[in-house]
Amino acid sequence: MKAPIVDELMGQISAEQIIFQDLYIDLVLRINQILAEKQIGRKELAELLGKKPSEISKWLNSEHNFTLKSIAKLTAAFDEPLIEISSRKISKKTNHLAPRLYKQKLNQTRNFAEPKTI
Amino acid sequence: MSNFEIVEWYTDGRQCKVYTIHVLTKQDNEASLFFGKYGSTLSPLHNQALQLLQFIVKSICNKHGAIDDFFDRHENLVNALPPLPKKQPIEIAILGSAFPLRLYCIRVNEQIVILFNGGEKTSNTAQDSKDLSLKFYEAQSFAIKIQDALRSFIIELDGTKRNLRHYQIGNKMIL
Repeated sequence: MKAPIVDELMGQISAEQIIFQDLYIDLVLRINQILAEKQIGRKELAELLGKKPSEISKWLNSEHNFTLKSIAKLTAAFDEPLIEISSRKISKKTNHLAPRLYKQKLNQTRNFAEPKTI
Repeated sequence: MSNFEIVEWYTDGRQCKVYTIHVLTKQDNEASLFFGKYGSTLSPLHNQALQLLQFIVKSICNKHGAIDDFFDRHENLVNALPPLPKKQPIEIAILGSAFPLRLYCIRVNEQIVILFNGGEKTSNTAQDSKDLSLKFYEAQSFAIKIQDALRSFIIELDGTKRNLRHYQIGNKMIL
């Protein structure tokens, strides 16, 4: 059961915003998990990445827009995976793409499924 | 104070169920009135209202439940959402400090929250905030009646501890 206003307002939040927030939260949680497991402080992480500690704090405390490059840097610094691209294949039945595009996708390892959350 | 009914507001969450109250002399329930006002596209706090709603629905109702970290903004007998600004959990950090809205509520347990109304905080204290002070005092009155009803088992939890009910009438909880 949902009050009508819940659906009405949640419908105004764009899918992009919801996905971005989910990905951001999962990524920061994963980073914090690795920092705790490897007993790396934020100051040490800053040194590993050649950044100031204040920059690292901004990354992990607010809506910093992680680039693929910064994710790659973190992955290399941790030597731990942070994100993985889903290998889920698009089946013929659920395919919503034009047949031409679908044929091009056969035998490709890339697909458009959302990345796995960590 | 007018009689009110405790009604379901969002019960689809995996971790927590949200009730609110409907003052019998009003057209709508308190939580819907709050989000109807501040969530309106005409409201300057429209985005913040959506953020707060997303926090309630996703983080509280579906992901974590009504955990202590989310209910640490104590205002006499009630709590105010959002929680106090802090770095963890990350959902709180995303809301940011100086969040302008306050939504009053009480937490029955980690699976049940009852929302009241709220407003914009424009002063150091709720009592001094023009938009908020009346809602603050109303929330205290609602909380007193609800807590009395829970203590005297007029309102009780069912066996799952996930639902409220009136000890005699069942789903109709009028206080």
